[in-house]
Amino acid sequence: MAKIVVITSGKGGVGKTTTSAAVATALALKGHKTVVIDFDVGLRNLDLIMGCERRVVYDLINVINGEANLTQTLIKDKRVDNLYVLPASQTRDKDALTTEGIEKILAELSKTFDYILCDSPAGIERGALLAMYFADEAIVVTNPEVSSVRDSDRILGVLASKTKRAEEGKEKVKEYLLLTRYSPERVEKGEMLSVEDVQEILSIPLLGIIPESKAVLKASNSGVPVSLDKESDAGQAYLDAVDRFLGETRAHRFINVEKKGLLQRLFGKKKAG
Amino acid sequence: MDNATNHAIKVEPAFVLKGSLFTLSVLQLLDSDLKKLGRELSEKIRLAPKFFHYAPVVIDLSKLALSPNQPFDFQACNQVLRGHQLIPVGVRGGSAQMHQAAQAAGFAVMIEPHSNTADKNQPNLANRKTIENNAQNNVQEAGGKILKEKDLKELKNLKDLETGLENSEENLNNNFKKSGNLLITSPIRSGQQVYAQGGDLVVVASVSPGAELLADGNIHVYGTLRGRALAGINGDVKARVFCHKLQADLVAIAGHYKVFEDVRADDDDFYKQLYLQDGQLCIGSL
Repeated sequence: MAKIVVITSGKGGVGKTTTSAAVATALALKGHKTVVIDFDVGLRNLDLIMGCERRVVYDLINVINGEANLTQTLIKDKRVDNLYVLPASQTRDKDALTTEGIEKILAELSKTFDYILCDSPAGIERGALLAMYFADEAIVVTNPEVSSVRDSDRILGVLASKTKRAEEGKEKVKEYLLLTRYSPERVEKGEMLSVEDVQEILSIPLLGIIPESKAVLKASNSGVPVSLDKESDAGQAYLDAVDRFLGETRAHRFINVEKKGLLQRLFGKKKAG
Repeated sequence: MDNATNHAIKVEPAFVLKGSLFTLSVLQLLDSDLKKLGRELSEKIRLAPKFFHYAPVVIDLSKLALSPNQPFDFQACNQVLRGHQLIPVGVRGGSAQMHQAAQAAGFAVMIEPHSNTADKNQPNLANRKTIENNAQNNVQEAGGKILKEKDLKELKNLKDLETGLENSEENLNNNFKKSGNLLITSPIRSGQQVYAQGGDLVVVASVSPGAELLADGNIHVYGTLRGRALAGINGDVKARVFCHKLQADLVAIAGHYKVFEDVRADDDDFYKQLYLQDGQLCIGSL
């Protein structure tokens, strides 16, 4: 039985797709058969971030409409074993998504996969609601910024009420907070919300803190999920986060301002970790 | 007709009856002169064109000094009101005869809720401190869930406070009584509304900004109260709001509300209670 995990946020542009790609890759690297599904119909991005945009033949909507089966549609990642991508449609819109269609797809994927990641679009409309409807667990991606925190809070409310688990009175969806684009320098200056500030409002377990990093833009542009860039701070932070997700304990890194030593200041190099 | 065909045919109903709770403005008529009424309403609209905004109102007839045989033209009254952006939905406070006449003209006769001293203080249209709540739908489904639909619309205040809130479901596996106190032990998230009908609301968690708490009785928050809290919403002026940390945007008791516009000093906010004194909302320490 697969675990269905939704990566959601409410707010747009906080790092859901980056996270979906990074987490899916990290899980697959650990040997778990993982598929990541793009629910952003019409504005699909996941295929770009995963680096497989030239290999998309069929998409999620084709499968829902019965025009293609899953085997034809799933794209196997070339770099990492056990990793598959189910892209969204570029030309259709979210009205083509149906609950029954998604249910069938998830049921079929559950037979062979360990983890099914659902990359949610921003907002609280159809695409976002369907991405979270069947979820067992949720990673709520938040920037340490007031509107992102407010939207994540809203999404937590929706997760508690508009999911299958909520409607059937089952054990609620397990929620995790992933704080992204964190800058310890700005937090120290008082310009940015700290981890504690965000946790006080959201009160859900903290999965990880991903620092603001140039590596993320590099990764998107080259179609390489950032967790494959093991030298970068963001990459390492994602790998830590996935270890925690799988039950291990990891100390949170990249959350304190680095005191630069003399040599570092002279030569301007920044160590990761 | 055999049983087999009976099972096969399923007819979808055309409507469903649901219980609802509405709080409405009351227009208390002091003079039976409809022309005078029309002039005064026109003046109000001239000064503030959106003042009435097609509000539903109940016409209170109790102060109308009419001689027993003097008829009141309810049809004409209806026309005057509708012509001035008011939608009369019913009447109250009149004699049985008047009520009959009103019904003949298409008005409903309002059934009074149980009276308490607050009824006499029912805000009239001139009271600028009152928020009117509309459309509260409270349906209990099997499994202890409440389905709530609520539209908060402010009528009288000259500031335009119009918030549309969508459906919000609260999954309550714990301590839910249909009419009575309500206990919530998980955080109340932005966009959620909770209504404790007929009793107190107790929240053992924090309340997020953008959330709304409503109760007929008191509201207790054993955590940080952000967002809005409206206690005594059916007119109980003795209702209070208690919280560990007061960071609310708005608190109201029996319709009298206070907006917390300025960011308050952090250390000042702990263990507060809010209550009505002489019609004013006061903040005290616990």
